[in-house]
Amino acid sequence: MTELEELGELGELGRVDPPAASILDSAREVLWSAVAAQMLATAPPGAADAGTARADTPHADAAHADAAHAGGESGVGQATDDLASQPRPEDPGAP
Amino acid sequence: METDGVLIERSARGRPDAFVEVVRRHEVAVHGYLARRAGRQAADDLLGEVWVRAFGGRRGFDPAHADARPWLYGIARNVLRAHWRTWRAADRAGAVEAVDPWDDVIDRLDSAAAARTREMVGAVRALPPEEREVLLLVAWEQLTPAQAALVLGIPPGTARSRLHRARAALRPVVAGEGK
Repeated sequence: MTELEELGELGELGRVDPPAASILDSAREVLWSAVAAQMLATAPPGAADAGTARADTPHADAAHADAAHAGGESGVGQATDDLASQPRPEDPGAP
Repeated sequence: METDGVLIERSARGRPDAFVEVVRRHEVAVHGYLARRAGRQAADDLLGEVWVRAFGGRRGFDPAHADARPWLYGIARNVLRAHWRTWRAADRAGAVEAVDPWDDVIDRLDSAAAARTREMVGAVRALPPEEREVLLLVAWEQLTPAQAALVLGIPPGTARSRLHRARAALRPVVAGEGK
């Protein structure tokens, strides 16, 4: 395409290296925290007690699991309730 | 493959986890958008904020749009503007800010720029900001003028005319006729 060819040199100036996987993971963690907060805020009253114990960071855990599957299935199709009811795995980064 | 619109709509209907697939599809592109305009460190810092804002505003996304990139770039643009306002306010101790993202791009590019590159950078910098934004969305983010219009919230015809003017201004430099 002529237009893009003409802009090609300018396009070169915009070339940046892709971010490290850890940067992308960190950003997703921020998102999951927001998702978890929203889910807690909208949880049905009956789920409050059960949720307190299990829903502190269920999605952060899911994000950890997600991060371990780089390039593989994302787990996106997994129901939210399923994610919330998963047992909390050991955090591989924990001391 | 499901479109971004389908996933975002699903995430707005009680399946917030569907939003993660949208993030996965576009996280490198959005990081690049941020990095090209504010540098790598700022991009690293701001990417999460873009996702949180996008998630919070997902009900405002038109699911008819298969590609969420223009919408995400628009959010990233707002995050950048807030970032620059904060940064400049702190840097200048309350001086009236004139947000010109190009200053940051120049800072980043100049370090490794050759003479011709500097000429090109100078020509782009001389463009009116509204023309420059359209030009860079097309040249850097590979958007169509219509998609760039979505990012900026302007009519497609306006984006096309801005791009036309920007290209006309750059043509002498591209053709090696500058200076």
